[in-house]
Amino acid sequence: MDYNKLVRECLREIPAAQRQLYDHFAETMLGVCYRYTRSMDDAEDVLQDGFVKIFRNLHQYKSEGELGAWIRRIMVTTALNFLKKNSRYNHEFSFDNENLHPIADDNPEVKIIGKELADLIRQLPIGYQTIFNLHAVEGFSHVEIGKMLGINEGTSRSQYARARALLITWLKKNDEMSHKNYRANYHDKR
Amino acid sequence: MPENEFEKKVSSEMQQLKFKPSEKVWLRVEERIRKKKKRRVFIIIFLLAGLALLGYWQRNNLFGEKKNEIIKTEQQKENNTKTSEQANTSATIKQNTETTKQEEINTTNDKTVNDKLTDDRSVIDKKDIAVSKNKIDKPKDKIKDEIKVKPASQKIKAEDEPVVSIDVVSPNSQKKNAANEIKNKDTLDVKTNPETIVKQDEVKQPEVKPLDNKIDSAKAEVIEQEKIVTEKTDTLLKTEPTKELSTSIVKKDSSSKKWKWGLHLTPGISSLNDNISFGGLKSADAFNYQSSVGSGTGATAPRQRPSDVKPGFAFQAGVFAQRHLSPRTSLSLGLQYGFYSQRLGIGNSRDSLLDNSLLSNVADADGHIYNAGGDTIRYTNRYHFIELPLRFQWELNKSKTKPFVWSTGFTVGQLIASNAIMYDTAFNGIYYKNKSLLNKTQFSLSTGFSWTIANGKRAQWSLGPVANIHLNRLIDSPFENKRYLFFAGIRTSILFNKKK
Repeated sequence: MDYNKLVRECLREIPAAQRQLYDHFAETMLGVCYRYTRSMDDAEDVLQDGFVKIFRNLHQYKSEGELGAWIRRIMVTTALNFLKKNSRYNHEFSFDNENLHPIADDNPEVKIIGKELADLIRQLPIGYQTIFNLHAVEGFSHVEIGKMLGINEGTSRSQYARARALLITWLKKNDEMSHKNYRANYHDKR
Repeated sequence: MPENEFEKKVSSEMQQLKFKPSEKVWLRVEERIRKKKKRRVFIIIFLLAGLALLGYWQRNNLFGEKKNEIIKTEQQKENNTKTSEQANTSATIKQNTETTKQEEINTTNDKTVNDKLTDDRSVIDKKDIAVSKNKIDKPKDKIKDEIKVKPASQKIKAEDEPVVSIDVVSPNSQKKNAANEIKNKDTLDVKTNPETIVKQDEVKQPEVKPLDNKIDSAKAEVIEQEKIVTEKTDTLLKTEPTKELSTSIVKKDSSSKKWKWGLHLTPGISSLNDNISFGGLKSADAFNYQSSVGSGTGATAPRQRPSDVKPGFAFQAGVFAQRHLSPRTSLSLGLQYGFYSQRLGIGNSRDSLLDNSLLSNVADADGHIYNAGGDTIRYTNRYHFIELPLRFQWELNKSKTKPFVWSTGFTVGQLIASNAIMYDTAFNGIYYKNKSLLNKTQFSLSTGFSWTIANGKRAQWSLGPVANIHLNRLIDSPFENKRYLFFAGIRTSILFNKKK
């Protein structure tokens, strides 16, 4: 797909081009929004706000960069704003200054399956969830995260370590549960 | 960057995470993109209207200045013509007076001239003062009419309009005439007599001869006085009218550009809209804004629709100061209190939710929580604002007493109090208070018409419709679809005239 041509047509406000751009990125971006929120409703709200921003600011997109990354960045920023403003999230969206929390398990042996992992991430407290997404998935450094959220780098590291530890525990439990279920099913069948 | 394998695995799994969004999302995105355009067009129209008015005012101002210049030039021309005419007339007067003097001298007996001179001088002095006053107060055209020089042969008439008349009269009749003329101060009737000579200027006051002076000396004085009268008349025509008129024009302009102050009261109705159209909020719009997959808490129970918001009573009241920019345009600045409200039907109270961690930190401590949907409670959202309106007025007709005015303006407002409740999809749809979601500083555009109903000496009373549309959102919640405040009302204002 020729993104530059698509962007030019969107800038000329051709409805078909706008729809094409939306269709091309909507599913992936809903996946991004889903990880930052706690319900599909909220995720779709973020997606909607994000695409409105994208179409309004498309003139700022420089063709040198990758369009997907630019859209993703806008979507993440929109999600963070949503968390800050929304009444169901903003009271949880506060970070206390904490000391560095060491990462306990560097290479845990756990099964990671996309949807399952996403649902576990969404069960984390909002602060943990956000920092985990920003660092582990989007690849932002703790310095960048600190600037984005207005917190110390150390706080970001600490929150991330806690989130990671919690997630690994849950993944391990899930593994055990699935093993038990598998064994139970196996014995039943026999 | 991810520290190790775990992060890499997570990242790769999450990058591939995809969900198909519902069709409503695109519809809403498309709708919002188009709406922004509409709002932009509306703002551009207002700006263009403002610019057009500014241009018109500027053009009017320039034209006004040219007009004044033209008037002044015309005045000068007229004065010059008048002066030359006057010079001719005074020459004729001299001749006539010379002739009549000789006739009178012959008929005059040995009566003393000085007594009469003194009497007549005092009378004419008074008249002279009256003439000066009259000229200052009257416009140029009247002065032109008034300063007429009658030929010497013409008889004096008591009912004549102000006239500079140099005529020959007998001492007795002159006394009578002089007395009549003092009574009528508007008349300008200067008479000369061979025996009783008019003194026109105190600086050039002629010397009064002693009693034993004979006719010869009186004759000589008559000639001298005639010269003075002629000079004075010329001077009056040459200089005074122009100066006085130009002063009066300047005075008129400066008085019309002074600040006047007034009061206004504007009762009306207000509503919340998502565009410039006026009307109640349709519940379906706000409901469709959120897809109905589940509630905000993840539950699958059907969500309650937000209630229809109906327009409520509103009013603005305050003071303003107004100043004319040109004869037909004016600017006003004010300070006002604005009250706006909307009515909505809501369900039963759910105050137990205040203890819920999701809402306890958000909803106002003294607030209540209500179920969305239903019509158990009639709730009124009230907003109290302090506003600073700036209005530009343009008189559409040419009537000075009862102008028909179109006004447009910009207002900055600060929300000082509100009891507004907002919709949220949480708990299957609730209403609750959250002041942090209200945009406290509001900017709005206004437009309206007004007719002057009564225009008295002390005040001017106007009446007409006005409308305000707010440019920024009043409610900054993702669940509230229609968030722009709209106000329409009938403005009644009193503008006080300054005491002169």
